[in-house]
Formats: sequence, structure tokens, C-alpha cells
Amino acid sequence: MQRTMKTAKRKYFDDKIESIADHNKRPWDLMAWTRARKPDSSEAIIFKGEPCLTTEDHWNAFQETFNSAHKRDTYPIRLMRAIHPKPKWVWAPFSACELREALTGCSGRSAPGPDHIIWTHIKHFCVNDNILKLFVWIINACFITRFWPDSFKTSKTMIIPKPGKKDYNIPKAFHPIVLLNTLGKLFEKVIANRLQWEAACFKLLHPCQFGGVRQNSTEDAGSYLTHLVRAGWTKGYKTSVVAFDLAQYFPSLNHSVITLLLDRMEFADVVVNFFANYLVGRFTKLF
Amino acid sequence: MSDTTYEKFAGLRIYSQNVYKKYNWINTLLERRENLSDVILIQEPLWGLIRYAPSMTDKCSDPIIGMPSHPSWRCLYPKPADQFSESDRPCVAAYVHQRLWAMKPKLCSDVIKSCNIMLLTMNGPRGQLHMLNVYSDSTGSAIRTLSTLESISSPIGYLGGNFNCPSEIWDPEYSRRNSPLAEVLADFTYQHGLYYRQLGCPTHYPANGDNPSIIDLIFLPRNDEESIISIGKHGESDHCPFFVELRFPILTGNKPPSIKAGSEADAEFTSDIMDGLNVTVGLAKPQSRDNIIHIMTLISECFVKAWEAHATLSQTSVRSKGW
Repeated sequence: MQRTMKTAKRKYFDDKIESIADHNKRPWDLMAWTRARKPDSSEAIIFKGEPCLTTEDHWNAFQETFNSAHKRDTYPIRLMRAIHPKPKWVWAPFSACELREALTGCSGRSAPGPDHIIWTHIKHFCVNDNILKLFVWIINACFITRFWPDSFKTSKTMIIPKPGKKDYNIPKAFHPIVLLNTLGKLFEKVIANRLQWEAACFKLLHPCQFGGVRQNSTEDAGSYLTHLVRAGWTKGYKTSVVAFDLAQYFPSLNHSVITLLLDRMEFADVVVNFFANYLVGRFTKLF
Repeated sequence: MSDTTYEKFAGLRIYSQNVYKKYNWINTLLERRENLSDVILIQEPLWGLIRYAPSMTDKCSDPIIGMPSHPSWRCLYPKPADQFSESDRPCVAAYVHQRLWAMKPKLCSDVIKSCNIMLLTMNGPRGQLHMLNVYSDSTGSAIRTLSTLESISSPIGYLGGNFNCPSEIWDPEYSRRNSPLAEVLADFTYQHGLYYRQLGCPTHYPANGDNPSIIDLIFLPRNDEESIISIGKHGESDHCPFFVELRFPILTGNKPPSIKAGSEADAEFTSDIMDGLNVTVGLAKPQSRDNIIHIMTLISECFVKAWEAHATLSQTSVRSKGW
């Protein structure tokens, strides 16, 4: 038994070394084998002075830490008064091409959701035209009926320790990862691509928005900042930079504000009503 | 070690021993007790240089300090503030078998933060179990720390370890001297509803040939008459191990089934799903919520059926193929 394990390990490592030496030329990949193993997060997480010993305790601690903005009061009426409604754009149904395009950049190594389906499987399914048509039908039907099925709203949450922390007895030393069903993620990618295309097409995004926007990168942000600094120098100015981070930004987003913004930004009623259903009724299980 | 008597027990199986900083002995225990114990509580574990690892910042490589590890066991110990400091070196450690991950073993460092004492908490079907693993050196520092302990929310289900506290209270036959801290320890255990389990034989056989004595003690709740304790041979250490069977039901978690990517099962899994999806294609006609729910239910059932048909529990055997 031990000999078999030893032989299997040796073969595996020899293959890896050969691959690194001859093909990908990334010798630093070997560092992961030799570095010290991270100590186990064995100490109980302390939340509000009490140790978290059960799953319920962990759930409450992470829920209150990472969803602290949950149920926070917002005032969408002010926003409603500030932005006036405009004529809506026409929404075109999704096509098979958009589904295929969304699949191209998906990694085969990402963890699956509760249905155990990974991107490799989805790519395999989409080779079949009938199945691709079925998927296109589902996403278009979801938009027309303004409905996002429960199986796409169900996820499993994994709690992963953040690397390099001194102590692992506080909830902030961990970060939750939500694993959704891959088929739902494919549809979400298609929707995101379309929304981004429309936002760019109708100039809804601020020109200084770099994060999450296609054809814009951190390097672009750096170049833009450098340009501002140099332009100031030519005029004899000194430039100061104020950097800040919005904590809990995404959990802080209010659902009614999102749908109101979509409405005021001239997206079709189909999109607005779809998102009103998409954002609610989520269910997750902590692992 | 008398392993044979131990296998017939049911419940939480604890192995407790002062391992006298023997690296090989700890490794042997981890290997041999994989199926015989659920928790290994050790005192005076080895804490030192395991090996050197290549470093990206230091030409001379980085030292890796710690305790022996084993893939089947999860090692828990009081985390030292400075891993190179001799005074912070953990003197107690626990190895909890990976099959008990569902019981969420945790160290309650908020109650006791000491390198000589660890409070290990596990969740079972009947609630929480608090176990104290203690190493008290010749100055009795751990016993003093215990005596200052304010309160623990739940009753202590196990207190054991090497107390280095000879006394006639637990050793009327062999004890040559009485430690003044014995009364302190007895008071603490009385307050927490624990009583000493007399085994009637020495637990420590000094390597220098001195007289054997009873300095390794196990205390259990006063109302616990079902748990069983036996004593084994000391092996490479000079302290005898305790085999404790606590009447505390355990939760075991198996590894989830999986399908190896690119395998024959994976191909069949994909094929089964495609067959199921092709059947569903014909139903996609009217665009209504009910129809979407119906089709999504069929798709989900198709995924579940294919997964249940092809996912298996992976087990390594002599016939296993390479990675």
C-alpha cells in the first residue's frame, strides 16, 4: 500500500517537474510544494465575546459580519425625485451566439455548485444544438416571465481563511465564497455581458469607471492618474490623491434602489422587472 | 500497547499520553491509532524544527517550526505568540481524526490561553463536550492556572494529562511525597463535579530508574459511571498511555462522493445528462413561469439522477492508479 502510494506520488511529481521544466517554464510553481503548511484555524472564532462552537453560531457571526448592511434603511424616494424617467430602450432576446461567447473564458477548474456540474460539462452540453436551443429558451423565458428559478438562487457557502492573517479567531480573518449552480452562472454571464454592452453603447458608465468594465484595466487607471499628475506639473500644480475603500459595498446595495436605477437609466421594463425577482428569495447552505 | 481491548468499545475513543518529545513515537501513534482512536491528547509534544523550506526572500531557506502532521489527523494546539520562543512552546496538543470533522473540534482560547492547558470543545448529537488536556510542570503552573479559572459555560466532560503532582490522594501505595498543589487540584475537580478514576498502577516509570509513581491523572464527571478507562504500556515514552472510552455519541462525516474529471464515469455522467436534456427539449414551448419551473425541475432531477448513478466514494487501495 505504502509502496503504491510512493510510486504514484513519485510519478505525479516527476510529471509535474517535467511539465514545468519543458512546457510552461514556471519554476515558481514548485514553491507551493515546499512552503510551510499553514496552521489550522483551530481556535474558535470569537464573536461579540462568545466563542462560535456550532454551525448556527458560525452562521450568525458571518451573517452579521459580512451582511451588516442587511435591512439598513435607504431612501429611494430621493433618488426617484432626482432622476426623471425617460423613454425605454427596446430589449432584444438572447441568442445562441451570446451563450457560446460567454462560455469561452470559463475555467474548467472552478468549483461547482450544489448540482456538481462544472464548466467542462456545460461546454460539452452546448456542443449539442438542441440543448443549446433549450438553454436559449430558458434564459429568454426567464426574462419574458420576469422570473429567476429557485435552482439558480440556491447556493452553498464555503468559508475560506484569508491567507497571511496573524490570528484566525475573528470572522474577518475568513471570507465566504458562494458557489452557485453553473448553468445559472452561465446565464448570469450572458446577462452581464448584455447589460455591459448596453451600458457602454448608451454611455451609462462614467468614463472614470475602470473596475469590472471590459477594455478597461488597472493599467489604464494608472495611466490616467499619471496623465493627470503630469498635466498638473506642466501647469505648476501639485497633485494629491485621496484613496478610499467602501467597506461592504455589494452587500450594502439596496434592491429597490438597483431596480429604480435600472428603470431610470432607460433599461426596458423586462430588465427592471426581471431584476426585481432575481435579487430576492436567495437560499444558501453553510459548509 | 493493549489495543485489542480497546477496539470493542463504542463512543468517543481518547488516547492520552505524555510523549516526552519523541518525534518518532508521535508519528508511530498517528499511524497506528488511525482506526483505534478518535482523539489523541498528548503532553510534552515535540515542538521544533521539522525541515527547511526554500525561500523566496532568504538565501539560507526558511525553517519550518511545528509539530508532526498526518493527513488523517487534525492537529490542534495552543498557538505560541513567538514560534521560536522556548517559553511559548506548546506543552499540550490534540490530534483529532478527520472523520470527526462534523463535530467541529475547536480550541476555546477565550476561556484558557496557556501553553500548558488546552480546552478542546466538540459538538455531538447530545450537545457539547469540553475536554481539558493538561501538562503541569514541576512548578505546578498549570494547576495554579486551573485554580484561577473562573467558569466554563458547560460542564467539563474530561480532565486529564500529566499533572506532576504526586499525592496520597491518588497514589496511596507508591507516593513518597505529597505535593502541596494536590489539594488545589482536588478542590478544582470537586468544584467542577469531577472525580479521579483510580486505576491502581503507576503511570510514570522514570528513565533514570527512580521509583514509579502516579502523576498522570484522569478525572471524569461524578455522574459518569459508564465511561471506561484502561492503561497501556508506555512504549518509547516513560509515561503510560490512557485509553478512555467516553460515553459521548460521536458524529462521523464521510468524504463526499465524487466523479474524477476525464474518467469513464465522467463521460457516462455527461452522456446521461445529455440524454435527459434532449428529452426536455421538446417541452420548451409556451414561455410561462409554470413551464420554466417544470423544465428546471426536470433538469435538476436529471442532474441528481446522473450524479447518484456515477458518483463514488474514492478509496485508495493497492490497485489504485497513479494520480
